[in-house]
Amino acid sequence: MIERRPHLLYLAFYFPPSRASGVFRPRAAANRLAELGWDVTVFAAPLPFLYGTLGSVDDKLMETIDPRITLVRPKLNRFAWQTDLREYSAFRGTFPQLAQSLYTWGQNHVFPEHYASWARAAVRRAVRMHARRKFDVVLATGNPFASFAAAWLIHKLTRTPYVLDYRDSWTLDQFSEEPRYEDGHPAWRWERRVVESAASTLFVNDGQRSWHADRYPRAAGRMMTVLNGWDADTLPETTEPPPAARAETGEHAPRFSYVGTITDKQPIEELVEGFSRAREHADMERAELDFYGYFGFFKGAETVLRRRFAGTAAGTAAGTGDGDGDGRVLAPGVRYRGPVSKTDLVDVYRDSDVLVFLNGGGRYVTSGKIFEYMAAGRPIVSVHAPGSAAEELLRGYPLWFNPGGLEPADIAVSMVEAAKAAAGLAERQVEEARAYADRFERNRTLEPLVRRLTELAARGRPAGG
Amino acid sequence: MLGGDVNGAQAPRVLIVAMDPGLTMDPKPNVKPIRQYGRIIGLAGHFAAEEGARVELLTAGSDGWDELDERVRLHRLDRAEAGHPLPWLEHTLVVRLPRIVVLPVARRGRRGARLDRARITASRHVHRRLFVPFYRHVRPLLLARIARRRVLRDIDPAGLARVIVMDRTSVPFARWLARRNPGLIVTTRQTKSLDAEP
Repeated sequence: MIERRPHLLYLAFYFPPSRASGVFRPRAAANRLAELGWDVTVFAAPLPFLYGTLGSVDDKLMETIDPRITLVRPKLNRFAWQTDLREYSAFRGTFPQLAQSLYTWGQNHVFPEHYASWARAAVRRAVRMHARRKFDVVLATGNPFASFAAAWLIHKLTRTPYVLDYRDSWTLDQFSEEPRYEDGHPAWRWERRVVESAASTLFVNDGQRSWHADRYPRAAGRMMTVLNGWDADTLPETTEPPPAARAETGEHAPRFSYVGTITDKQPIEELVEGFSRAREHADMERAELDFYGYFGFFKGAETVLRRRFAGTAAGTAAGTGDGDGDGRVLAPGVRYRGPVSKTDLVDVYRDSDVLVFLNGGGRYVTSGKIFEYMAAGRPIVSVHAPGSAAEELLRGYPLWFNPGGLEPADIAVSMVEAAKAAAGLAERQVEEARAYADRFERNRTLEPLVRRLTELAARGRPAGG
Repeated sequence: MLGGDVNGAQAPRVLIVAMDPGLTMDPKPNVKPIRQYGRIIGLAGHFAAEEGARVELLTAGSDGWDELDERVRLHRLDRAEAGHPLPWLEHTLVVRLPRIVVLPVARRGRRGARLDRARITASRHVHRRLFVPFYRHVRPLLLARIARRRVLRDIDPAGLARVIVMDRTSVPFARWLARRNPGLIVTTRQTKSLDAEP
């Protein structure tokens, strides 16, 4: 008798070719489950939304998706994002106030998110597919949190168990550490509903898990932490010492790198000021700090963020291109190198001496990038407020340089020390750093999730397949 | 011919449609009216001063345009709107007639004054609670009709580089322009660039 493969419905709105920071966890989880013999069906964002509305895509990421995965893209009503009047429906174009009133009513009384229409379309598609071939378990990842509501409704209609995966929190503002919505907002009602009916709820760090456990004690026993991790398919199996350690003494200019999306939540000013002070040190005059990544997650963020760099470096060559005229110089010694595909990151890490961990969050924000940083086997300088969730992970990393806060003078000291350490790194030290990072390899960090999904899938299937 | 000539080259032309600059038709406006006026004036001024464009501003807002760049050409529809049978009839029934009815007693002592105040309050309530909720759905169509008849005599849509829509009340007219002119950019995006995406 042939055993039936477990069938997973994965509600992951942000999935390649989206380049949003949230795609890497669903990408890895879907690939891992497909590799383990699951039939994985992913419901993701429609392409016109990714290419046309957000404009944040990385086509190379599509090549990293296991071909056995079935990808479905339910429709999304782009009402909230439409700026071109040619895209307006005849109804909205004729009765714009009435169309807005109906849309707002839906937000207030049905589901408080612009992605609600995607969730409705996802439920319709899921129920049709379930009738043809049963799903054993539903895994929904947020944001957007409409996917949680879709999982809940699919569960109500088909009795399929579901697991929620909070990549970010919904009702907690991770940065201000305050509730995001006022009392009585429909998001609270929905969150309680979806969390309490879920077979399991996952969080990316213990801080988030305990906050939610306090709020929803009835579901606390089914909450788990599933850390993010680094992806083995984007980094080499072994790492070599940084260029500074391989160069002749005095020849090499230290290269600091930041890799990731540059956002308005990050302490950009403190970093630029700290780096500027570090360059006053004798061995650091020619030091460079390179930024690899996009400015913001959406179109239009670049101007505002560039202004913050330029504002810090006012009166210097910032923004003038330092003579090259291409606007790549953000501040003296600080260059914007542009986005790099996840699949090409290996070269960036190889050519960097020190990695700068620029992070805007506190105890509820880990940042998925930190795992990749550790796996690169480079000294890491922290530039974030004390108490970040990432500190727990970095504490055991042998090449961590923590200024202990956002004081530019302290950041400068840490940068100088990290550059010195990079220049003296032996192969053994790099291997030790990598060995520590190996525990965060994505397939390992996903193990609790895979175990839980396997348990749930087995429950709904007759013994023997 | 409205297209100006700047150093021998045809200046690009921009139409800003702000039918309801005070956002009076929005139940919960996202911004205060003064800020919305500031946005419109700032945007028009930018295109006129920085981009060298000929800017046309189409509005049904009667005042608040003192700080508008003098190079911007203002097309006002407020008088034409007030003369339209629908708002005229509402004003007559809700404001003028009650005023005429109450007028003989309004100046006779405290009771008359109280009655007149009650008349004003009642008229205001009827206007705000009954007429405006209905009119906010009709007004965009009414203004679109007026604009099509009156303004297009002065503005040649074929020569426009960009149409920027500042509020929901402007949508039907702007969408009509978009449908009539397939290559024309008609957008709610308030980007200060002539080449920005719609």
